[in-house]
Amino acid sequence: MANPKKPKILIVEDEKSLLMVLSEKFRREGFFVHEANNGEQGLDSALKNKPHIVILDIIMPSLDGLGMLKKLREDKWGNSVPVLILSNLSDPQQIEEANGWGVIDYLVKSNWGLDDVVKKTKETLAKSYQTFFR
Amino acid sequence: MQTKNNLILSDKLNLLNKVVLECVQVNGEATIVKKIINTLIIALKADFGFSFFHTENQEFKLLYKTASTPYIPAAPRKEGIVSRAFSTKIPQLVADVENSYYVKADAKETMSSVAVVPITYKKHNYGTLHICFLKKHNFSKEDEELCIYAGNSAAQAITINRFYSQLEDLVKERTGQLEQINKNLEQDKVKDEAILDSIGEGIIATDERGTVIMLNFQAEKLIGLDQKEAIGLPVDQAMPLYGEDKRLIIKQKRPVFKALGNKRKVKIRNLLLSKNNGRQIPVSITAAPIILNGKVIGTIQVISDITQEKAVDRAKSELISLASHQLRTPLSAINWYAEALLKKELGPLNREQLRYLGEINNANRKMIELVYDFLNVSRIELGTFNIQLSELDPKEIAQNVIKELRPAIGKKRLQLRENYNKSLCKIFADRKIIRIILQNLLSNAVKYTPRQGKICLNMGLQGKQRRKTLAIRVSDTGYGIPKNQQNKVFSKLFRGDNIAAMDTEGTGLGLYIVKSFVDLCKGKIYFKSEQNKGTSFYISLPLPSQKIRLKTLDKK
Repeated sequence: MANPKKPKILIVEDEKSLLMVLSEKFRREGFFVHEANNGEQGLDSALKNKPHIVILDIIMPSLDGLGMLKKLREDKWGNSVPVLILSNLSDPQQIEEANGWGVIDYLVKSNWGLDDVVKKTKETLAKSYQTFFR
Repeated sequence: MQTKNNLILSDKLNLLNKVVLECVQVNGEATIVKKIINTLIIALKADFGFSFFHTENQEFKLLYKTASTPYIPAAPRKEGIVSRAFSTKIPQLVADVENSYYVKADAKETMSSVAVVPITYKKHNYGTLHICFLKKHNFSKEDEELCIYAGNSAAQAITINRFYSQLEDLVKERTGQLEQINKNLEQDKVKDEAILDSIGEGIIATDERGTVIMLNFQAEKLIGLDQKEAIGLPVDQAMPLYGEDKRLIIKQKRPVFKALGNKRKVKIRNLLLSKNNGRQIPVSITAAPIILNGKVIGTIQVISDITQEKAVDRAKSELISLASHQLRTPLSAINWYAEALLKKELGPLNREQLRYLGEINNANRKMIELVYDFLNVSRIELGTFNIQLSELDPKEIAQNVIKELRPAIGKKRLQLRENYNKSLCKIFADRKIIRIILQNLLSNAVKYTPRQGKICLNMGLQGKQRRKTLAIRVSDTGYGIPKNQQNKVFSKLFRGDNIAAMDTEGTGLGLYIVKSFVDLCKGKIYFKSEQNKGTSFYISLPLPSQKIRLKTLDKK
């Protein structure tokens, strides 16, 4: 069982090397990390593990990030979980669509360093859960 | 008696007159002479007659003799009666041939009296009329007058006749020349048409009012009208043009009317030509004025169908777009792994290892920037870049860009001055575009200014409430742009000769991107540059009016 004081994060990313470096970084930062390789796995994991935050890629096989997001928002719990998009798609239309599904922010991979991603995640958690990480 | 004689004389003169009038319309001197001699023979009751004429080489030739002439008269002598007639210019009436000194022996044998009438006109001695009598004839005053009249009439008739035939020859000659010229012109025309038709481009000539006067086969195909239909039409009716934004190009902005107005060659790329059937084809058009004696008398318009180029261009842009997207994932991986190592998150590294890793990371960042540039270029060229308006502080964007450039500025010990005008406040604009413009202009200034040089950024809002523009000026004391290359500054992949030689980093995309974005925003950009003194770029971007801003807000 996960340490209840540790923040739980779900990282959904199909690119193995990126998933690895992100997971390891978040573990080093004290997170409990769940990994998923595509939207379907991601949805299953999210509904089962109920992470505090989801980091979601967009272009993925089987079910893509936006598809997973739509389904996630249909769930009572999933409707309010904070989601950060971390993608290399910087197409304004995609960003707009993602914003429409209530994502916290849209981060473009090649613009964001690892530290920046972690910082943003922590900020989001602090805002969303108020007292959790004080 | 007197009256009767006079009547007879006038009858005779009338007759002669009639003959002369006829003669004018008659071809050939022999015919004229024949008619006059025969009339005179009747009038003078003579028996026969003949005529000698000068040939071209001043010899005498028997031009005509009546059938009743009993001998073949020999050419006159030099000192004979013919010479006398010529020198006195009056008819020589010899009543007594036998005892005349001037008449030749052969004539003396065949006639008793003779009238030798000179046919002269001004200086020309055309020839003589010989009216001969078998029996002795005493010449009356009336005879003499008739002879004078007949001689003058013959001379006039011949003069007119010669004039006419000369005229006719001249006309014939001229007609021949004209026919030849026509034939040559016809051949030239066929040749020109063949040349014009074999050219791959459409060519349309117009007059000074822009009316179509000629077009080649290609042009017919391009506009979907044949010569008969197109010639005489105003060019804007014959071939409506649209801009890339699908808006109709107004008459004054069409290449033809620009060329007519400015008296200069005008080239416009990327237009859409609307065919007769409504289909639109991408074309580029060059129009040049035809200038004759300083006056514009029309234009020649060359239309190139660029469908193929467009398709190739699009495929290329799509490939770049795809490749750039694909490149970003591995680049991100390198970026993150290097970052973790550099921050010693996985344990300490020695100095050399850190330095090497730093180089890998720097190279990777440059690659990421390059991929961004490529993506922006492909978006611009594919027309998939959407302007996203949001409220933003241009000063804040500028300061962020400068923050990123600080290390490079410090390394070169450059002096950077930032002047933000009081007018500068929050505006509605596309954050990305403002950032890309500032980033490119400032990083160029940093890159291309030598150590300890100066860079200056000025920003402010200009204009009245409804038509405000964001004004940006970036100037430096850098290497400058060579004069002969200044016209290419905004073209894709341009790099100044002077800086390409010392710096290998630039891609030649930055200013192309800046210009494209400025154009996209319907803004203006220009620059002043002097080699080794510096460059200043000036940009003004129109800001959206209240209306558009409200619309954008509604959408959100």
